[in-house]
Formats: sequence, C-alpha cells, structure tokens
Amino acid sequence: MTAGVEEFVARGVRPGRRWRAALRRPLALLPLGYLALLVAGSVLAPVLAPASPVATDLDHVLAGPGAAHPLGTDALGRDVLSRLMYGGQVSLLHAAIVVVTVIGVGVTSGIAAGYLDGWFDRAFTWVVDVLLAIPVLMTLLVVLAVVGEHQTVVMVTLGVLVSPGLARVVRGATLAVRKELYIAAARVSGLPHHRIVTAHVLPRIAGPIIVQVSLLAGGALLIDAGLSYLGFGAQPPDPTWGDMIAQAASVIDRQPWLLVPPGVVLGLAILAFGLLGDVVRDATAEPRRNRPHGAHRAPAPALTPREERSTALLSLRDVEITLPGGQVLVEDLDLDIGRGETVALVGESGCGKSITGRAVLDLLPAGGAVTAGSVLFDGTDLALAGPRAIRGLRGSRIALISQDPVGALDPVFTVAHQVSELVRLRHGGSRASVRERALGLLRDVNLPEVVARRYPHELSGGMAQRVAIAMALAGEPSLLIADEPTTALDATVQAEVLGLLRRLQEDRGMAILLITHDWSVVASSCRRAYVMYAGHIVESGAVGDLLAQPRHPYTEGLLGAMPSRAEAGGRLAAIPGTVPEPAHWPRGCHFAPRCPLATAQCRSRRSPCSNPPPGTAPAACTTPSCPPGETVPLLEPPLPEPPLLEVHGLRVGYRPHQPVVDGVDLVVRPGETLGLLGESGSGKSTIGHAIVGLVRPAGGRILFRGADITHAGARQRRALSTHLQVVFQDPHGSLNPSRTVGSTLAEPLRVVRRLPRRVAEARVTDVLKRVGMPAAAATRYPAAFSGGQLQRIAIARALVLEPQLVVCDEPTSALDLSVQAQILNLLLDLQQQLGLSYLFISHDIDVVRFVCHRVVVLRGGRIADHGPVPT
Amino acid sequence: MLRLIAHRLVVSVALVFVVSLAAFLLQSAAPGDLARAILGQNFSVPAYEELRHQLGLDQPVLTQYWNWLRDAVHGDLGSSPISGLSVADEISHRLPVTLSLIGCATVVTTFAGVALGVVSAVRGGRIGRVVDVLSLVGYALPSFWFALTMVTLFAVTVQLLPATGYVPLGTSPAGWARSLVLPVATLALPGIAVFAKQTRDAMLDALSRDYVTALRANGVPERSVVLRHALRNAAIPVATLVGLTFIGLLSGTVFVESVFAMPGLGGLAVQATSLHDIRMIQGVVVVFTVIVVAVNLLVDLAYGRLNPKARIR
Repeated sequence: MTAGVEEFVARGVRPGRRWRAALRRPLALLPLGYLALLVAGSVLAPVLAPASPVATDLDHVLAGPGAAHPLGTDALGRDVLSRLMYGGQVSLLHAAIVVVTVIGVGVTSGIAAGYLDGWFDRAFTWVVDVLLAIPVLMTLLVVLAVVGEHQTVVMVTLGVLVSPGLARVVRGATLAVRKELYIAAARVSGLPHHRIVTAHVLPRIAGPIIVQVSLLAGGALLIDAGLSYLGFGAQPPDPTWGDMIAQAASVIDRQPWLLVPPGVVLGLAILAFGLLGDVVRDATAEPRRNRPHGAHRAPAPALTPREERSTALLSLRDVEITLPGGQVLVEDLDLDIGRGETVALVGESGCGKSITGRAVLDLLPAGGAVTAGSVLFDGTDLALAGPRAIRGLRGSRIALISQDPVGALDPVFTVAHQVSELVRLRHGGSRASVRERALGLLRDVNLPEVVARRYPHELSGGMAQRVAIAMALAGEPSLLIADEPTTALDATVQAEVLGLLRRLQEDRGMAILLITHDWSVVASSCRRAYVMYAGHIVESGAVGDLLAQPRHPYTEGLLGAMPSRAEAGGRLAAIPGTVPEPAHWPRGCHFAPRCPLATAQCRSRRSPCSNPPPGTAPAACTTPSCPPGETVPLLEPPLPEPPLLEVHGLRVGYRPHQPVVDGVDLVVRPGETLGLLGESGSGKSTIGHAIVGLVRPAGGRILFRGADITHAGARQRRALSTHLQVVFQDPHGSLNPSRTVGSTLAEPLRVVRRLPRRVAEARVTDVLKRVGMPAAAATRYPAAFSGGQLQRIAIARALVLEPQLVVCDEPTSALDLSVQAQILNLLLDLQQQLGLSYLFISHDIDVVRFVCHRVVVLRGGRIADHGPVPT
Repeated sequence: MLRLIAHRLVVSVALVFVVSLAAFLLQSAAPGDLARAILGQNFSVPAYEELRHQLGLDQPVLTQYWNWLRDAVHGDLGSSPISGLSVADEISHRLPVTLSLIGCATVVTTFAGVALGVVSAVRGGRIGRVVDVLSLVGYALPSFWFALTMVTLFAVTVQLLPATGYVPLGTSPAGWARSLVLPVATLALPGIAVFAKQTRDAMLDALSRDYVTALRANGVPERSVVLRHALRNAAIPVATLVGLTFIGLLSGTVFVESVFAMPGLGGLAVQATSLHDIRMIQGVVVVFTVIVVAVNLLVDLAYGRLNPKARIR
C-alpha cells in the first residue's frame, strides 16, 4: 500500500527531478540528520567535547561508559567521545576532498564524452578502461610510500582513482539523454550546445550522479579509516576513527567495548551515505515493467459453474478480469470461437484485448485473474479448473504468439535449441528424431534450414515471428491466440505472415483468436470479429457486416478514422478524446463521453450486448446510427512555384561503401505535402534527419529557398530554425519530461529570437490554441498529457518559430487509429490556415495517400517510384 | 569477440606500462631518494653519490625505467634496498596466501550470492528484504572492524577457530581450511550481498521479458523457465560482476591480511609502505595489475560464451 502511495506522490512531482522530493522523505531525513549531527559534532568539537582528545587519565584506563566518560576511556585513559568528535574532523574533511575531486574529474569528463561523442568519446572509453583495472588500494599505498605525510595528496589521488567508475555512469546517462528526441528537437530549434547541456541534460542526469557520489562518499570514509587503521593516517596522538579501531584491536581481550564506538559511528556514517543513494535511486529509477508472475494474487473470485453447454471450442461468458488492487480491466465479456475458426478481437490500445487473450492462459501480468464468469475450453471451465490445469493446456492445446517477435525468443539460445526443447517436451524421442521434427516445423513455416543455427538477434522480425509460430505449433494446439502478430512488421512481411497463418489454420484445422487494431488485417483474415472498447465488447458479427453497416458508434467512428476509407482532400471523421484508463471509466456506456449521439440514458446505464433482434448481430448500442461525417471543402492543389526545398543526389552513410541513402533527389514546393513512403530501413527517416541537420550528408546537395544548407554551420542552422522544423514519431520522447510545456515552447523564442518574456508567452498561448490545446496546458508537465495531446504539443513546438516547412517523421505511427485521425486533420487544417509545406515521412500508404499531394517511394536508400498520389 | 579480446590485450599491456611507469615517476618526484633512505639520517655526500651511482639513480628516470622493465620481463623485479631481499622471491613466497584468500572468497561470494539472488527473485517477500538489509550492512561495515568482531566472537570468546596465521595447503589441508574460514568470511560478506542484489535484479528483469511469457504460454515447466532460461540470461550481467568483485577483493585482502596476520601480498605491501620500500611495493603493484588483467580476460571470455550478441560469427 505504502509503495503505491509513494509511487503516486513521486509521479505528482516534476519527473526527472524526483530526487529533490526524494531527499525530503522520512527515509532520507534520517541519514541526512545523522550526517548533519556528525558534521556539527566534529566542527564544534572544540566547544562541545567533554575533554581534550589527547588528555590522558592513567587512573581510568579502559573504563566502560559512565558518567565521567559517556563512551568510556581507552588504554591511556583518554575520553573516547572527545576522540570520536575530533577524529570526525579528519574523516569528514577527507571524504569531502574525495567527493570534490570525483565531481570535478568524473562528472565533467563523463558529460563531455557522452555529449560530444566522436574521437573524444573513444579516447575517454579507452582511458576509463585502463583506469578501471588499476587496483585502487595498492596504488594508494605507492603514493603513500612516496608522499606519506601529505594526506590531501593521497585523498585527491583516491578521488582521481575512483572517478572512472562515476565518469562511466555519467557518460552512459548523458548518452541516453542525448539520444532523446527532445534533444534533437532542441538542436533543430537552434539552441546552442552549452544551453542544451545545462538546461536539458544536467537536470536529467542529476539523479544518477547523486546516487554515485553518495556511494563514493561512503567508500571514501571507509578507505580513509582503513588507511589510518593500517597506520597511514594522522600521526598519534591525534585521533582518527581508523586509528581508534586499531588501538581497540590491541586490547581486544581486555576491553572489547572499545571496538564499538568508532565502529558504530563509522558504520552508521557509511550506511547513511548508502541509504541516501538508495533513496534517490529508487525515486529516479524507471518503474519496473511488471512484477514477476504469481507474486500477488487477485481478490478471491466469485465463480459459479455454467449451466448451459457450449459447442464452441472456446466460449467466454460474463467474464470479468481484475487486478490485485480490485481494478477491473474487462467486464461482462462474451466471446465464442468455433473449432478451426479465425475470429478477430478488434480495438485500440488500452481496451483490454491482450488482457482477454492472456487471461485464457492465466498469463496476466501483476497477478490479475478472471474473477467472474466462465471460460469454457473444449467443455472444461478454465476459470474453475485452477492454474495447474491451465498450465497443462499451455502449448499442448492453446498456444500464444505476441507482437514483439524478436523479444519473444530467448536471446541466448539458437533457434534449433528453442524449437527442440518444445519438441522434446511434447513428443520426447531420440536426439535425432527431435532434431528432425524441429527442422520439419521450421520447414512448415517456410524457413530455410540455416535459420536453425541462428540466434534471435540475427533474425529479421518476419523470420522471428515464423520461429515463434513454429514453436507454438510444436504442441499441435487446437487454438492459437495471436496477439497483434503482424503489428511490428513491414507491410509485405505482414502479408506473408498472415498468409502463413491462414494456410496453417486450413491445414491443421486450428482455431485462431486474432487480436489486432488493424481493420485491414481483420478484413483479410477473419470472417467474424468482436469490437472491444474500454473493457467491453461493444459489437460483434460478420466482418462484412461490420465494415458495411457498423451498428455501434465506436465501430463507426473507428472506420471513419481510417485514411483508406476517406476522400483525399477531405477530413477524417475523427472521434474526439482518447480511450479512458480503467480507473476513469464512466458509469454508463464507456463510450458515451466520446459519442456524438450519447443520451442521458447512455450515460446512466449500459445496454447489454447479448439480446440482438432476430437476424442481426449483437451490438451494445440502441441509439440509431448517426449521419455521415461532413466533408470539408477540398484542398486546392498547389500551383507550380519556385521550390522551397531541393535535394540533389543526397548520400548518407555511417560506414564507407554502405550508404543508407544513395542518390536521392526530391523537391518540395510552397504549400504542398510531399510524401516519403518506405518500409523500415529504406532510409526515409535518415533523409529527414539530414535535411534538418541531425546527420551529416556524405554527398549531394540540400537547398532551402535556393541557399545551400548541406553543411550549414551552427549560425546558419540557428537562422534556419525559424524556417525549417521537425515533428517526430514518438510524442513521449520529443518533449523534455522535466520542463513545463510552456517553458519548452518559449525556450526557442527567448533564446533564438531573443523575445521578451511577455511576448514569448503570448505567442505560446497562441500556438497552443492553434493546435487545439487550452492555454492552461503551458503550466503543466508532459506526463500530464496523453499521446495524442503530446503530439499536438510537439506540433506546437515546431510551429512556434513560424516555419515554412515542417518535416513530419512518422508523426502518427505511434498513435491509435482514432487519435491518428485527429492529428492528420490538424495537420491538414494548419496547412490550409498557415500555408505550410510538409515533408511527410511514413510507412503507411493509406495515410500518405490521404494527406500528400505527391509521393516518393523509397527502397533500400534509393527512389523506387515517384509521382502524384494515386487515387 | 576476437576484436574485443585484442582490444582488451592492448589495454592490458598499456595498463601494466602505465602503472609501473607511474610508480617510477612518483618515486623520482618523491622528496629524498632511495639512496638517502638506505643511508639514513647521517651520511657523507661522496658516499651518497657513490650509492646513487651504484643504484643507477644518477641516470635519467626513463633510462632507469627501461633498465627495470628489461629485468622485469625476465622475471627480475630487483631487490629491496631496505631488506636486501629479492622482490620476485618475496612475492612468489607470499602469492599463494593471497590467491587462496581471494580465490576462495570469490567462489564463496559468487555461489552464495547467486543462490540468494535467485531465491529472492522467485520467492520475493521476506528473503528479498533480508537481501536488502544484508547488502546495506555489507556495504557499511568496515571489513577490518568486522574482522576484529569475528575474531572476538569466534576466536577469543568461543575459541572455535584460529585467530591469526596461515597454514599452507601442502602442510595440512584441514589446517589450511580452518585458517581460511574467518578471513574468507570477512572478505566475502560485502560481496555476497552485492551479488544477491544484482542477481535478483537481473532475474526479475529476465522474468519480466516477453520470451518468458512465450515460454510459459508454450507450456515449458516453471523449473526450466527459471533455472535454464532466466538464469542463463541473468548470468550475463552477473559475469562482469565476478571480475569487479575479484578486483575489489584485492583491496579488501590488504586489510584482512593485516587483521589476521596472514603472510600474503597485502601484508607485504603495507609493510613496504611503512618502510618507504618503493622497489618492493612497485613489484607488488605490478603483480596485482597482471592478476587484474588476467581476470578481466577470463571474464571477457566467459561473457562472450554467455552472450551470443558478443560472439563473432
């Protein structure tokens, strides 16, 4: 419970600066308080100490704790407490010297290496490799042997010797931040490097730096004490903590107590630094993806056996799926799959499709479970059967393939090894027969034999998905749950994998539950489909009927949002808003807040999906269908004008003789949208990056309004930033999470344009309004917005400098269908209002066809085709 | 992989050069030289010059270094001007003690830490918290202080084990083992907790991956998922930790040998430092560096075997 609350509190503060809040938590106050006490006790020792640290009292040697000497006396009758306080002066000063050295050497060099990259980084890595292998204590002993009495030199040396570890961490963190899209955006905005480092990089890596420095401070105390224990510290009779331990050791058989005070004070000080580091690390670390399976159990289910029998292979009735906290993810779900049938479960992300698929196999993350209803598989109720029975079905009766094909294979074993393991599990037999069978499975999924010897990282996405399918087939299951099996694949590979699934289904009579968000996949593979929205099935029926006559407004809205079904030049019938999180589901129909037809009745209760009028498919909406979405006047095709952007023979290559982009020519005219269409690896994004100056071209020329910008310097780029801007694919990465939207948007105006604050703020409000965001958005952090809203803000950031050309690098491919429609509409509106030109980079032919005037098709870094958009 | 090892070898050779040269330069920068150290407080200038000449100290530093390096390559690390003993002989006498200590401590740390980490990743809950507390305690306790406490408990109070000293393996294997229990326990404690934590994190990470879900969905038994697939993946980051732990133990052994009066290299280095016997400690540092280089190479090879992505095709 407390962990949850802490997490919530941590989310409430500025992300990226969570360490500040972390230091104010009770767990951090304790070590901070202890360290403050130590510092005060040492600094004020001359005032506070009960006795002189060197005053001997031979009448009271080796006394235990008492009134005269709170912590007793040592072998010479000296007051232990006083010696501790004075000893602290030396130890803390030494730790401070080490920390200052480490920060000076380690942090500076780490940031420089991580940010500058190139030869400096290579030299840095080399030096760090060498230094990390130096035995620290031994080297310190050498230095001590030479300069023994100069403790400061020894401590500075210690600082230098432990710097490489910190420098490496700082470099890694800097490198990670430098690759963030918002850094790229800041560079395109024309911000100078020193500004990017201080305003965008340093605040993000402060957390890891504090953690490391805290741990190093503890380590410095330890080594300092160790050295004085060995007799290399301050000379007697001056006290140090380590020396006190050494003296205690010599009288260990007469007064063991003497070991306690210095040991405990020193141990607690190191512990305090360690705890501080832990607290800051826990607060700044990314949350773990999900908990291990079975760590928590869902609340006790209320399951009752079902009366009615079912002839379907899999039949779900009134299924409810709940997380351990009581959060309901899926409600009243009914779904049937017949033997050998392929059924689609369609919907946007966050609707509960994958959860439903995994619930059948009891593979829910974070201990979620089916808490009501029944899951009949081949006559057995899985919800009642218990985990052991379900485990018995996995692989042998029901199998699963998932979205990320490479991630679904164990990276340390070869393909043959992984397939063979399953074959052995299912069929046993000799080594040779297992191998033969495994190779047979690979042949079944159209993979050549050489693939068997490869590791997962040596496979393409399509190959990996075939391997995953082969593994799923090893147990000859009667149901395959295919969770977005083609989403991560390129269009041509996608078609091949779907074809393979169709063939296997026909050959083997295997039923498939196809979970997808893509209607074209549904249309090509399934006869029947269920449409899911926010945990409910809203409509089901034959795919043809769903596409032709959708009965639920959500289905209709989804179809209307598809660029392939829209008229070019018009607008998409976008559904406003986004899919709500389960915690924010409304009371009645979950779709009501986004539905143009919602009535008071819709908002108060949900119509059940179960009782369709005879002859029609079930739908959860009784409101009559809405009128078709209105069309906006067609966009005027642009007149031939002098080009805005010209690219001639562009070549980009990271290695010689391996160009990523090889001889590309293109032209963008004012007011037009040029589509750049290609599959992954075709070089389309690289072209965009070369135009905005994020990568260096190896050859060719880039002209903007006639001026050569191929190798533009920092000054020319800064001037260019007011003409040429970029919008990236990932809206979450393209805004700095630790700054408000307003400060991100105002930054280029203030730094590049040097506008006064008031003017800049007015301009920000203006631009936000233009992209459909309220002015209040300026005061909030990116974490407060959904993906679609963030992409609007990212577009606002591109527009704030009033450019003529915006490079849109897959601006909608990370978004759901309904949100994509909103963003595409927005881009078209902005073009019409502001006369913008777009270079629109995409892999989606339907989207390109919808928004672009002309298109260039890329394959393998070369232009394969170009011309006006086919209609 | 081959490139990685070649790179590592180049770095290693550079490292041995840098360390030994740095020791030499430091020595020449030091106030008062070897000759003065040998002669003590009262000496005559001609005798001093004579000795400097004998020791080769009147030559430029780099020439001195070259002479030393030439001898070192042939196994001659010079002799101590203080004790007159051959540095190489002295080191080879003491090397077995230190290697026994560090070797045993590494093995104990690795096995205990990995086992604890796996259990706490799979079972979670209470064992996880024990690991957390243990790792903080292991980090915070000064090893020499912990060693003294162990001596007080097990050698002075209970008299179960010898408080100090070392019995060579050849003399009495049982005695060797008994003499190692306390020092190895002291050395291993902080490392076990680090290993357990790292193993747990790596295991939890592996267990949260898609391939684990896929394996479970394909009906692979949980035992195989955890011990074959997850552990094998978790071993990749843990392997690098073995090297780092070993290098860390080279520092720890200095304190532990001192507390338990073990005649090892750590003790030799401390003794040489307090006598300002730079020749001797320089020899020890070079030997330590060579050990580090060898261990790093082994770790790289193990890493390459464990991680197919690091292997050459």
